[in-house]
Amino acid sequence: MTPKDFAKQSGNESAATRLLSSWMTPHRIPAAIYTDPEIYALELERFFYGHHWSYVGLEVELPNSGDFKTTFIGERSVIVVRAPDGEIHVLENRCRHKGIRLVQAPFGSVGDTRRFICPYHRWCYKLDGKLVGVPYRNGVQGQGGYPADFSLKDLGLVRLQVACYNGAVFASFDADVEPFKDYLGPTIEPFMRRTFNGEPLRVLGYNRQRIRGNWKLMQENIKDPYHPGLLHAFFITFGLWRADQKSRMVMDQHGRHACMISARNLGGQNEEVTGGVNSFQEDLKLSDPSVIDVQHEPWWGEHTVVMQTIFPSVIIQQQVNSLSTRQIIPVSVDCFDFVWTHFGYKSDDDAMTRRRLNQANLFGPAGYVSLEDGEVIEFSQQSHATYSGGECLAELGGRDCEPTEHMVTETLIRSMYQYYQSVMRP
Amino acid sequence: MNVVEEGPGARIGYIIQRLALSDLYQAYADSLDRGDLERWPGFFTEDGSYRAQARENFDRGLPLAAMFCQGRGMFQDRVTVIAKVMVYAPRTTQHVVGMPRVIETGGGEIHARAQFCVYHTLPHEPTALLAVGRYEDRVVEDIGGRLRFRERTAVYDTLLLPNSLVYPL
Repeated sequence: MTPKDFAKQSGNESAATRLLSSWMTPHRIPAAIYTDPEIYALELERFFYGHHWSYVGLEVELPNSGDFKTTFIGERSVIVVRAPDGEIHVLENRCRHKGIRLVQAPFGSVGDTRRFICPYHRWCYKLDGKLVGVPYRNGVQGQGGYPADFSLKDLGLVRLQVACYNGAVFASFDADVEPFKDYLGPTIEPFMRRTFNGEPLRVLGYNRQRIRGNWKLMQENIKDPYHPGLLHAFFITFGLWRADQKSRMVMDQHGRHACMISARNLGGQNEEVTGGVNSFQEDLKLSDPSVIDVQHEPWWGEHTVVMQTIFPSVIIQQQVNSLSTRQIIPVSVDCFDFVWTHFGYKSDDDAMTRRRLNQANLFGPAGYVSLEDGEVIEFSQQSHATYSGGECLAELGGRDCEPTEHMVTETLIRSMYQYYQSVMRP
Repeated sequence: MNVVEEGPGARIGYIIQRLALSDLYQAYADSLDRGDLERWPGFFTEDGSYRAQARENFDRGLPLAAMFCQGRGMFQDRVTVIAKVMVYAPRTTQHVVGMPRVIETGGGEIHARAQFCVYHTLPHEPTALLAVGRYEDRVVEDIGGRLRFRERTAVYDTLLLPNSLVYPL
């Protein structure tokens, strides 16, 4: 009898197990998935440490051999490093001797040493993770030392699977993870290729915030085209978002990744959906329109806004000229860190860089629209924490999980939870 | 050009300058902390700029700022959006600003620096630290003798902001 069977028979099955066994309706979301630590621990195992790819950075952050950054997949620290042969490795930031974090700096270079050296007992690793030296291996003056069969070979830093996709870097702890392109799937990959099209990138800077909400609420936020025209008064007031603009909701074959796609200047396709949408505060005007000074870029095609949610770890933002990756780093069941990397292309002229920086006023912890997302996520979490038996609805546009040609739907949230259920079911 | 020149007269001049700067810094903080946001653009010259920028960006020469205004219009828009457009939990702030130091003068500008600590208080929560850092400023005197910021960069060390930065630092 397995422990799980035993627990079931003895009636000691946990609330988490009971919930994950019985939850079948992706349009009705139990609040406990935002608050139960046991469910959260299982999410880390199955999503962030399991059969999935997670975003770790951009290749342009590591221009030279020996450059590294540290980041997190789930709660685990990893080192992303460029080796002398130019290859990018992602390594567990965990010395094999006593498990300590080798590297603390968010960015740096190993310089000419070309080694990671653990500060505690000076175990020494090459940039591909290989262990190349341990002090006192043969003892000191004939005393001590490691046993004769002690092998450095099996004690390298654990190396993750790495996918470099035209400058975006993803990694996975799972040696058997599917190829990254297959992971994205044929409906999502073209949008990834649209932003990461092989043009060299330029990092414009970072924003980091700690949001006291469950990490999934951020994924939901960018799978939810219901709210931008309602919560984000800035969009409405200054004509940047209308519920009737031509738009599409697309997901991958599993329902886990998604794109919210819209074309700002092609409104009027779905006029019947504008009912009930207020246009707020018509008297307000911008004194300086430079934050909404949009210039069409050739790679856009007909789409002016494409928000990609790559499950579980990142959002790829194109909001007109503002581009960013938004990394989701879970900290605990009720908290995540949100790391924004704003970028442009190396070929951008000064005017385009300036435009991207001006438009960045809409995003990040002080963003005219993004600030509101962080706020409502905290409002959600505060409430879920006190109603563990509560439930959320995602029934706009029906109860199915199909792609749509409009934005009056919560289909992307439903499709994510349908996938979630399939992975989390005991 | 270094401002700290020899002689008692120069030293007195320097102290007066620091006091005048300090007045500006305290008035800036005071108006934000009392919720008098409308006054904020007036602390800057017409073509002035403001950044609330993470130290990691400042130190590495990366241009992104969490909050960026250049020219009076962008300041006024930031004020309007904070006051009338955005949704957020109500809060108050308190700035604790150190005595400014003059780093350099020249070209009609004073390059000054001061440390800051900003606390925020949200409903149902104990007061918490919002951000800590320093101002890197370019200050000029207008025709009426009033000091204004031509450039103010609030460089914050706080690597992870506690969710939202509603008001300017």
